[in-house]
Amino acid sequence: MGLKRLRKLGALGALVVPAIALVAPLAAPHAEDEVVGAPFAAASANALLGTDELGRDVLSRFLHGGDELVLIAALAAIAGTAVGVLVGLGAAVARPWIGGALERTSEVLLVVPALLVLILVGTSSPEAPPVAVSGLLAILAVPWVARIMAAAARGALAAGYVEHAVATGESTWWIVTRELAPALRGTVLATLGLRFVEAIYLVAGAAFLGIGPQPPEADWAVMVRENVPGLLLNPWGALAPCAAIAVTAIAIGVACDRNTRRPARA
Amino acid sequence: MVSAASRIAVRTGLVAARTLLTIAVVATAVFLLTEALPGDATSGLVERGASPAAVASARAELGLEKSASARLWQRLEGLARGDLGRTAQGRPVSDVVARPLRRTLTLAGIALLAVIVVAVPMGAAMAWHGARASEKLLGAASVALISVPEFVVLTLLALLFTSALGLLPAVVVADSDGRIDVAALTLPALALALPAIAWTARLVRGAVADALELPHVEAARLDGLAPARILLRHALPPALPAIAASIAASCAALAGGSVVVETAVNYPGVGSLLTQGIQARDVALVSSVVVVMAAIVAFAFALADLVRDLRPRATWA
Repeated sequence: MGLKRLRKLGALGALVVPAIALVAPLAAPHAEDEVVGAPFAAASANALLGTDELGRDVLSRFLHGGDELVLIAALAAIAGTAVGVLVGLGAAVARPWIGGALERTSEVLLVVPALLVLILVGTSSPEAPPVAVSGLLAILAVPWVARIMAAAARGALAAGYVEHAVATGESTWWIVTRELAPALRGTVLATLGLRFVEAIYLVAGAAFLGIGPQPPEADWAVMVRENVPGLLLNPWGALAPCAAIAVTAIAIGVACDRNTRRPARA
Repeated sequence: MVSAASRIAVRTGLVAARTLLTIAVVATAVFLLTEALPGDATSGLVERGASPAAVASARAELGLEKSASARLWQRLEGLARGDLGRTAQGRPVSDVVARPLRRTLTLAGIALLAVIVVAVPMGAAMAWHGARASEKLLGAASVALISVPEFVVLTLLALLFTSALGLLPAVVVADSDGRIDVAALTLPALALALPAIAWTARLVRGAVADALELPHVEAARLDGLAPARILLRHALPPALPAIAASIAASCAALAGGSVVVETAVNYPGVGSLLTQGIQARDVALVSSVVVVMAAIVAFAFALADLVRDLRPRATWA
């Protein structure tokens, strides 16, 4: 009972939390680089969550710090899933040999931690726009998504309606977008959620290492790194962004766990 | 048993060949990626305002004047000999990377040990007890842990320790000999291990649950054998390949995660080396580190493949 409610809460959170992160900057009482007090000052009326290492308002930086992370991760997840679904289902319907190629590609990708690829690209071209990070993550996600979708399509392919569509001369594009993708929407949604969680993990990790947002820009991951030294003086500086990343990831993780457990039958 | 010995030799040879091929493909892909990107090994020098002559000589020394295909060949041939190339400063990468790599392997090794010791029994217990409420709750907890980046886990743990013990254990400092206090590794190792445990336990649960449905295991269960005996003797052997594969996959997660966690606690491992590389824009160093880490993970997967391929036929019945 309690668990079911938890999952419902997760599904709600999966939509609400990222949305909040996107509009939160509007609610910030101070500018993200405005100094309002002494470094690592405790909470006060002027700075509700205290100040950070340079005396900036933690609450304002916290409210400013999530939009880019969520946006980059969402773009990466949507693009990677969309392309992966088309490739995977298209391969299942029209080009079975692509399935083998997807297997090989994922086997190679399995061995390279995606974070390291992100670091490599970030080192080589630090001036690349944030959208490029989304693009890179999307490309890295395509083989995974395609492989999952190709496997998920196997059952649907045997179900007859796809055979019927092929026999009546429907195009692969039509079969993929009108028949298979809607029938497998549970798997598609779960994959989208997992990709989003993974993208949050990677973008936050890279930002923590200094790839992506540069000071004085506010970013949850960067805030954690900046404010850990002041953990004893003002724990909110690191705690608030940590909690935000955790809640964002967990809400979506719990929501798509529900979807993976009950896949939509074709 | 000549045939068994030759079967083992052939399987091992095949796995080794596939692993080497994977590493070569990764090295080639990393090379092509760095070629396609605007920066090269001397970007850092240019940014620091080195004279054109100095940049030109550095380029010549690093062999950047040669054609891309010649350099790729040189790279792969060097890797085959164990030569990792040179950093932008001209030092051999293998010298620069040796000590940090040993430290990273220590940290990740502790975490991996924790993963194996905790996740395998936990997953097996979850499979055995089926759909109990505790198992469901554990499932939910593991979903939560899987989703959260390690540095967030680390910071929350550090905060917990700070408020409970009133001290800040979140920094590991090496002494002048480069020796590390192993006790100080507890927190970063825990931060690395917790998400990996959550993840691996779920996979182990799946593998053991599948094995429990095999006819001979079910027969042993109906015969009323002790749970520990059924799990160890009958369910674990058929589940072993899947368990080994999930442990290998957690090696990949640990390799990525340790880079971040190390940086968070100032542990002078590969993560710190990479951070230096990022700051100096040393593409040569970063790309070599990526290939080395990929090779280590590939080795872990090769071991998992061997567990699958060399499993005695008898237990498969």
